[in-house]
Amino acid sequence: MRLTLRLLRRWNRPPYPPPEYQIAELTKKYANLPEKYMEANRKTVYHRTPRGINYLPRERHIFKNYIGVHRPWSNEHNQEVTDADEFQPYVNPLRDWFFFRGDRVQVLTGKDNGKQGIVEMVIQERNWVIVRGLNADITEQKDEDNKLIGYALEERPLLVNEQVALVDPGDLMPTEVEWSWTEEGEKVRVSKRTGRIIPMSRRSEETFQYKSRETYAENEKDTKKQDMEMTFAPKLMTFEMEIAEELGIEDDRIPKKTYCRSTDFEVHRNWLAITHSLPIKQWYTEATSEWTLDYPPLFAWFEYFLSLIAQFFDPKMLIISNLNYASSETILFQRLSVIFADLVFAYGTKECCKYVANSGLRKSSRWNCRWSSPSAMLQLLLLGNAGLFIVDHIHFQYNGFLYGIQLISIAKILQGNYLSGAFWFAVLLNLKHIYAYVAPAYFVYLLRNHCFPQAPSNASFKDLHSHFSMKRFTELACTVLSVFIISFGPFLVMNEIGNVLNRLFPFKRGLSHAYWAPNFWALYNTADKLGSVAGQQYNLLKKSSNASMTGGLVQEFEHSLLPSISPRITFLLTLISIMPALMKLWLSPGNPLHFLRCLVLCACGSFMFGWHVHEKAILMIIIPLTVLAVVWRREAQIYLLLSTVGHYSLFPLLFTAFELPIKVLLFLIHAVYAFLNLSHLFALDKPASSWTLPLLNRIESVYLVGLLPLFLFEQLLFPCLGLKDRLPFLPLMLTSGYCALGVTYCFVQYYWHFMRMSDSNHKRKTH
Amino acid sequence: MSSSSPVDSFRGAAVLTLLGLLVLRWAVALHSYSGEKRPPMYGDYEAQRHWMEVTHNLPVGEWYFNTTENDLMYWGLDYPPLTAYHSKVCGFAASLIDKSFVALKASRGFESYHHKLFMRWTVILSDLVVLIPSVWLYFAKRLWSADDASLVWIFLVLSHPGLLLIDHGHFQYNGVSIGLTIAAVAALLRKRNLLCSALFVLALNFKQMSLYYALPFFFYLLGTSLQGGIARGIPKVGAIGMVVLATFTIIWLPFVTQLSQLKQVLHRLFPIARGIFEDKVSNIWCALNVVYKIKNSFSNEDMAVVCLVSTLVVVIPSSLNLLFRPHPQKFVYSLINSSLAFFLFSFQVHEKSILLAAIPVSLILPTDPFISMWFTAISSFSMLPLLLKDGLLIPTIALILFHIVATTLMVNVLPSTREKSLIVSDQSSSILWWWAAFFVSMIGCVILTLSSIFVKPPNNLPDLFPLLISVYSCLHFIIFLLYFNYKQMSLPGVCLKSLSEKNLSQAQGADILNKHAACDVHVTNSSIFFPEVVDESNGCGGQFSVTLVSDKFEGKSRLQRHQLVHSILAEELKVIHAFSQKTLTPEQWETQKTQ
Repeated sequence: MRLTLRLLRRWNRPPYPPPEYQIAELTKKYANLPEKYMEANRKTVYHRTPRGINYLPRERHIFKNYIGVHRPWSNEHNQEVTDADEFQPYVNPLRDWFFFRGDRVQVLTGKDNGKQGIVEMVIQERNWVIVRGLNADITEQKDEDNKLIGYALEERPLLVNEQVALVDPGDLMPTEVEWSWTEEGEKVRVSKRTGRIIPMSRRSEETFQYKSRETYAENEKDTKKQDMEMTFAPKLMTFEMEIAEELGIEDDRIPKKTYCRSTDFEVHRNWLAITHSLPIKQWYTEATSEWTLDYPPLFAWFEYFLSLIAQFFDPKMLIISNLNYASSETILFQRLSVIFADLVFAYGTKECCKYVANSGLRKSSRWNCRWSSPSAMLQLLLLGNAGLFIVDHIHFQYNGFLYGIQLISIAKILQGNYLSGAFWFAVLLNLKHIYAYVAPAYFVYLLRNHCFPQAPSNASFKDLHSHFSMKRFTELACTVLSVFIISFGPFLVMNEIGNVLNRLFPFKRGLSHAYWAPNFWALYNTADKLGSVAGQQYNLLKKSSNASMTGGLVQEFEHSLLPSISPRITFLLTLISIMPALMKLWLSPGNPLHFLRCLVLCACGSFMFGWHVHEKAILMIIIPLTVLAVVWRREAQIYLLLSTVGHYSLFPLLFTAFELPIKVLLFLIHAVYAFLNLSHLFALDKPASSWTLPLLNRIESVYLVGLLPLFLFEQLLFPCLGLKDRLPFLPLMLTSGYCALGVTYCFVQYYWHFMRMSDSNHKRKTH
Repeated sequence: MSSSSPVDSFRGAAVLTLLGLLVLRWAVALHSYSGEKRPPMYGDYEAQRHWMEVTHNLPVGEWYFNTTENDLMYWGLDYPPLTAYHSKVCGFAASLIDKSFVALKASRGFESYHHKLFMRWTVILSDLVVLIPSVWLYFAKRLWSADDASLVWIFLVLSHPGLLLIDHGHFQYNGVSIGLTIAAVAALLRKRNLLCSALFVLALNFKQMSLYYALPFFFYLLGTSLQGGIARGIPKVGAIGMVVLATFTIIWLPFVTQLSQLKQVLHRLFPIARGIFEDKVSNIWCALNVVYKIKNSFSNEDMAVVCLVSTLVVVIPSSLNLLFRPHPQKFVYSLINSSLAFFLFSFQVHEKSILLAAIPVSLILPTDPFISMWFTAISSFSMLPLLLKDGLLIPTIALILFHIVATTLMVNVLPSTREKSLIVSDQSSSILWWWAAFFVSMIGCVILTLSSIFVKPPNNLPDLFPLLISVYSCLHFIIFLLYFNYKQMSLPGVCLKSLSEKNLSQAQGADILNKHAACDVHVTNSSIFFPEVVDESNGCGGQFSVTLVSDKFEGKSRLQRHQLVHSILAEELKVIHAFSQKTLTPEQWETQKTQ
């Protein structure tokens, strides 16, 4: 038992005495001395940590035990302690204490048995009282020469619990007592035998310094009575709160949430404010905030409709000058608006699933499984897309809504409903113009399949001419143009179109975003950087000022080794990269899946070579690819690789400690589900070897597993190594470089696969 | 990693389940905790932090005492020693991360981004170590594998909205005590009585509220031990008693040295002076208080006696039923009955204590998914005033909706339960009635929620909506209590083992088997009958050979038939060590008979 106590007790003792060494309450009262003084008198200190701030203030000391009848601050007490050496008195702990100075008591033992006397002194530490004149010894008094000079009566202490008893004032007989309360709430001692109150003697309040309170003459240095008066009423408030209440200050600050919000919150709040409080004419000229409206007009209208609802949540957020306003209602509204806008995404998903389920694209034994049929899987993969969660619901954007519209248009075209497909795509273009990158695929496919209805697939250009249907072409053009007119028309009329276009296409930004999207330029930048470092190492290059390219914050930088890139070059490269795919699409009409493939490749090409690409644009590839992934095995392989790498590359968007677990968990859930179910769907009986991931070959598996050490390096090793000051952007560069390898690999592989496919490699169930 | 073998697909599904649970937990953890930025007393979060501070800095002897260093009026420790040890471990970890988290006295009301992160991690880790494994043990048939159905149950139980919100939002460590209790139940159902009693004592020593379960555990252990006759039972009971005593002694070792210590700890654990209920609780007394002010006519001590007597009166029927007819399924129902009765009738109840009843209710999901889902929704709803105060409204709504949707989806989809609909009864009209009742009750919840958010209560009744919510939930709980009592009583509590000991005739044996099959929902509407039941065990009750005839066997292979029978008799087959069966369709039976 002692062992456990000792184990659990902290090894350095607390700096106050244990109970058996403490000074009793009555002694303290009698002394009327500062407690600190008495403590100091009763202990010997061997060592004490020096003054100042110490996390663990330590002291090595021993306490002197209470041995005899002398007061702890007296010299005689010190003498007693020294004489007693190691003596440890045994003291029976008492529940209640009844004896005070001046009480009349009867002695129950010894030669004075039965005599009554007055308590002269109380030594609570040892359960003793001293009764005047009783239980006394006669001692000889001697001088220095040991010569008798007289006799003295010296009272010996008596144990309270067995050797004395209080006397009942009624019959003057000894009695047992207990503590009780009078009706006035006064605590009194009551005789157990007769129930009489035993009054307290006035001597009980006697102290070292005075006999009674009234007779005490106040000294100059004493604390005055009026100083002791309590002048404040205690309240359940902190000091600051009390002051604020006194001065009538109301705290209207909004406490910050512990997870941080991205700037996109402020961007969209600002757009809400602009569209709500300004006439249409000024939407694209307003520039109070740096986050000006730079999406096409339909999106501005979308924001306008949101602002109509927003005013019921918090009208303050709709004031333009209210920059960086983020009340909890505002945040709530914005979050909810994304969630409800996602219903469009859900609808788009449903349309695509309907197509996959009903068209009989491919024979499978699992069509009727409720949870593992391809359409169910598509549904879960799209709705549970980790990237969308990260970008939309944690980082904050309205991508789900936009991809929903894209999915609707894809589904319409897959179902052969070209006009409505074109309509939805035009709407999409007018919501966010980044989708112009995939417009060529739409254009080529619709032109070839809708406007040349009866042309055979291998017709030459001359033959095609004869099959051209002007009517169909006009229909298509009218549909698309009407959407554009509704969107841009008002600005044309108001002669604001120049401003709008300026806002929509800014070429001021740099080649790469602050965090390099994992594309070709990330590799290019990395190579340039490595080259320049190597060059400087061997003094081949002179030290240039822009060597701090890892700084990454610099939006525009000059390449030091490789030639710098202008927007024109990126545009050209993008065009070249998508041309073969478009050609192939033109030459293989009547195959909607080829359209989807070409769409994916267009998105991919623009992502690889585009100017100032955001890392979020990877979703433009992943989401259409999902539809293909549940149908064909090869595309499932590409999807697994690309979605894992792509979602991983979104990690730097969220960087706080609270968001870390949730992004990792979402990523893992999506990846585990995709690997598990896609491999299950394509009935993989045996994996290539036990060391590869399902559906992937050995190199791809090693590459994917390599993400784990990369992650661990960034999270654990990098902060530990102390590189943070020298190379702050190393982890970002590593992530984007590593992911860029994977994305490039997927791009090349998929391109090769598409080009080699037969024109109508598209089995339909015979209807 | 291969993917197609069943083992691996199971592994993947298990990983997915675990990840899903973690995401839910962390998503709740992002929200605010109780008393965030609300000085001077803060909330339960600060209480837990303060205990870490006290236990880390002071010697064991002072934890429960009011000293100069330990102010009991400021969130003094009032849970049993295991909580204190847990706090000490957490406090030690905290001191490794940052000394200011647990600096004695200086850290009062300490709040920071990283501290919140630390605290949230401690709850998640406690869940990972205790709660999730124990629920796994309860549902999984074997230690390292579980079928899809049990994974679904595990997911649903562990995503219980109330538990998530209180532990990961409001901030407490209920998962540990509840997890230990579930582990004890799992051990009990596997006939590990000694392990069970040790685990339950641990649960009891983490939170004294686990006493709500004490009676069912006691009576079930007693009942099963005494089943083979009193003479054989007494050593078993003695062994259990020894284990209980030993566990208690080990945990209380630092406190049993001095009588004053023991008394002080007990005094801290059972505070009579704190009144009959805390805030607005949806139990009987709070509801009664609306019409009749209890405080005016009873003192706290009197009321404690009244509470004790009324609780015992309500618990006794289910306990006695369990004592005389011990049966695993009855035991789980009895856990519900006892904890619900304690919640409704006992003294010093918190609104959070409904979790103690809600978790056993979610354990009966496989047999009674509809009622379980309903109870989960209502129990989470009953804590709304508390959660509203903590700023957890949105996760509350989201999690309750998620739970309802997930339960309906998964239960309807699972192959093993597809035959039994969400409701036990097989008549479509009664299903409709059940759903109607459910929707009416949910609409009431929605109205109360909306009004407590948007409507300002009249000035003389500031607590109007919390009170309405608690009365509304209380009515539900009373009806649920009656329903669960009825369910427990109507289960036939006869194990096959007792069948042979009483030397029943074959006919009676078949009769009991028939009854058993009838109570099992799988076979309600099919006609299994037992033409032959032969007890080959010479009275020890361990060997049977049975001939089963049912139209359910139509078109199934012999293996599938056997699997069907095994799935029905799973519980009984744990006792029996030899069970040979002949499974025949009616036609086969006819032809065999004619031969």
